Amino acid sequence: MNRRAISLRLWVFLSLAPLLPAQGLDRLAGLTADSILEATSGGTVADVTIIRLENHSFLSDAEVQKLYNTIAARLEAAPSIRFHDALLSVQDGRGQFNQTPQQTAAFLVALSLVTNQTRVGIGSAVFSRRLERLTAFKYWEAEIGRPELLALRTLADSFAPTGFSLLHEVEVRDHLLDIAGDREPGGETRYYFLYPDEVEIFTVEEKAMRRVMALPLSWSRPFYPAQFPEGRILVFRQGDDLYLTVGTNSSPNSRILNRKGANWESVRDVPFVPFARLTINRTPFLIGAPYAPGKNSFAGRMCFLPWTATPGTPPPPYEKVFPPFFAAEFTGKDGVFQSVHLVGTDYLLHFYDADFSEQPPETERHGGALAVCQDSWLALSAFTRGEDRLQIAAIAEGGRRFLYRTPLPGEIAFIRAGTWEQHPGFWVLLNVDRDGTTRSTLQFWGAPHAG
Amino acid sequence: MRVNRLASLLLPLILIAAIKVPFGGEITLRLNEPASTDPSPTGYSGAIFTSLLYENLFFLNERGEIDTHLFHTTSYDPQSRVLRLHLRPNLSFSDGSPLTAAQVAASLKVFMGHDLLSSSRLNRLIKTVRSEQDTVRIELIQDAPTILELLAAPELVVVSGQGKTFSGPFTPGEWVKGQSFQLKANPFYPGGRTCLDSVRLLFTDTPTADILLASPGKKIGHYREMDAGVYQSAYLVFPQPGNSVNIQVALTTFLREFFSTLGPSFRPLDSLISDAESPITIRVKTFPEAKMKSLLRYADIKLYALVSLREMEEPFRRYCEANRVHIELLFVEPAQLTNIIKTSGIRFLLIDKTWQRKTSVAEKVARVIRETTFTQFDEKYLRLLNELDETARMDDEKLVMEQAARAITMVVEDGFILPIFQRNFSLYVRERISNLTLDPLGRPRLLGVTKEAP
Repeated sequence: MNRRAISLRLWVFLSLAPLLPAQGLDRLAGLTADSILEATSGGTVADVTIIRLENHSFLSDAEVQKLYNTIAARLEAAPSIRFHDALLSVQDGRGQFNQTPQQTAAFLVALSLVTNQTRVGIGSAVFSRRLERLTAFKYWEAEIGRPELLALRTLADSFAPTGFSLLHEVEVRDHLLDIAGDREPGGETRYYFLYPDEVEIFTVEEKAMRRVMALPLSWSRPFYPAQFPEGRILVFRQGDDLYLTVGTNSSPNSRILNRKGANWESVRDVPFVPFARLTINRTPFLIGAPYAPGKNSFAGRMCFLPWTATPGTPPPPYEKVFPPFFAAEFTGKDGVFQSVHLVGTDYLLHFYDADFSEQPPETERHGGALAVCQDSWLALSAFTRGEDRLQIAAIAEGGRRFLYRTPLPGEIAFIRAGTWEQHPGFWVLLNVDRDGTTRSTLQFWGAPHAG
Repeated sequence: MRVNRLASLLLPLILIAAIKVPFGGEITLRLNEPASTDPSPTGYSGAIFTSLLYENLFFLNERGEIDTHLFHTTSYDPQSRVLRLHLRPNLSFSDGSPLTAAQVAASLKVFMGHDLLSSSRLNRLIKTVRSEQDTVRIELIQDAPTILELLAAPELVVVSGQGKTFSGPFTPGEWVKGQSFQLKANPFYPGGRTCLDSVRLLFTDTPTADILLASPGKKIGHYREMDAGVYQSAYLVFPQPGNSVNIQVALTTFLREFFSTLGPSFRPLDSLISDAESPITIRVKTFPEAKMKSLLRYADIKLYALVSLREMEEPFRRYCEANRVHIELLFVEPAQLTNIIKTSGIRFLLIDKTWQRKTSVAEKVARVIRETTFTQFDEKYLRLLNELDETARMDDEKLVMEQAARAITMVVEDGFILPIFQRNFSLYVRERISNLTLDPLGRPRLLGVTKEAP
């Protein structure tokens, strides 16, 4: 009977006795990963994703997450499959998954954890899309003692602060609203600092920023003075042209500027604050949202403006309803729009897939700052006062796995993806209270190098 | 030329943080009902109401520094004695219409025409006021480097000359006369949109407001007490000459005794401002009880009182019944008072004034004279006010107190006003309300206030 014939049958192992001596979570993870690999490895490298995770055991959500991470790590390392980690979070014993990867995966996996007295059991079922049937089911048990769980809790977070590293730090003046970077054709990197009334442009000389010019911004009525100024700046190229968009919570209209030689000319105004430029169905869009006038959050809608630099009346932007939010980022994969990560004014992290379907938000609250770097890393601030934490999750495969947590001695005002000396990473504006006065410090945290 | 960059313009009241300041919600505030939405900064209630709808040119911030939401710089040239105030761009009134330097200049001129001590001080100092594009140009008669302090008068507000539009943090919403008045956040407010969506002014004691004045030391559940430096003084005024002196004394005795029955917070007043601040003590003549009652029983008295004293109505009726004295008590709005005095011939009037401890003694005494003399205001009192004003400008506290004592003595000797009671207040604020501070006049600053959900 060849392998292929075996794979056509339903294999069920009676689960009553563990096949191997109980050796804890690691053993459980290894056995589960091996059985999934066995069921999904074949002639070609297939796409595999876990779509369901249910916990009926005595493990906590955090412990289940760690077990899952270990299984996922082994599957990712296997050359015989392409594993897509789509887990967003584990809440109340149930895994929340990004559903996009499952649409193209060849194999779908479901995991279920149970308790058998003092042992934890894990059942894995593999479903073949091509065959449209369950092709494998395995069950393993292991004795999980309290000491092991305690050690796991202690050790699992040991690597949290080690991932991203502080590569640059500079004190900036008050009311820095945003930062964007751009690499000139000649190789020079320029940084654009947005303040309420001007954009300051910097180059880098000997690892330090040097101000080269300031671009005054003139706003017109209606103008809504804000107690808490907020704003976004976006820099992008189209052909040989460099464009800059600036918007704040004081003006219902944002400016789009085009660089002509050493000068900047106004192209047009748009009725929202752009913060992303994406191609959707081969059409470039400027994407953003309007601020609620004078407030510190965006109103509950996202605007999609087909982008064309040609003069003339542009079409009105398409709009999509979202909850009011503090920050949002769009992610893509190979240039295709994938998802939206958004921190709402409820401080909950919301996730929308490529169809704009929302997954149930996590119950854990985060801070109001969020950014995505290279469609691979998601950075968030923490729901704290006085001190803050830079929390970074891996999102490359469509899931969300929090890996790194770095405490910071101040409060994060914003996080923005960028580069510093060719390193990708995150700009973080930190407000630090020193000797009774508040100082604003801009930090750059570089992403870890691939091992 | 000295140029001051006013650095606090864009400074958020609260640090920008990972947890952002929440916007939304409404708080309620117990106040006396205003007569209109026009600025009426006299009295504590009026001062608070005015501060909600109208913006000051300058004010004292939490650090006691002169601050402004209107100007990005000021410059004073002592050589030419010209002060220039440079208006921030794109400011608007609550209806979106431009708030211009011309309107700020006009507001200053309107203020200088008021009958207030702070107005008269500016009148004596300012030669001309003009607007030049986005700048207000003020030329002074003499060098006064501290001119900004005088421009920080709380009564000096920006008004639009065109229709009902407002410069303050809130703008009028629904007004239910006798009950409540909702004020909505003004999105164009120069200081930045308030965190609250609205403030509702309550004119009755139920429901209990989020912010209210009450006697100090009260333990009100889920409220915290703040010292607003506010106190109330009440006076019996005789606007028309010709009353029997004995009746006046009997009525004064009756009222002083009545208010003392309302509780320990009502303390007899023996001065024209507060006993603690007054340079002299007034010896108020009283009658023994039997004589007082026999005089009042047959006097057929109509006692008018300001509506702000309405809380006394029911207890006063019971007190009269218990003492078998018939005194008809009628309430009158402040705006109607002068007219009623002229036409109806009020003989006995009970009025109250709410003071802030930080207001100067000279200002308080001047207000008493100006606002209680009615038909008896003559050249003598005008001279008295001018002398008070001159003395106040000399910045010599001893001299001011002497002049104030002289003024009080003259007023009391003329016999048309007698003090009745004084009452201190604390501001009580519901615990769910955060970031509330008081300005130097004890008015709540609502710009950065937030309210937690229950």
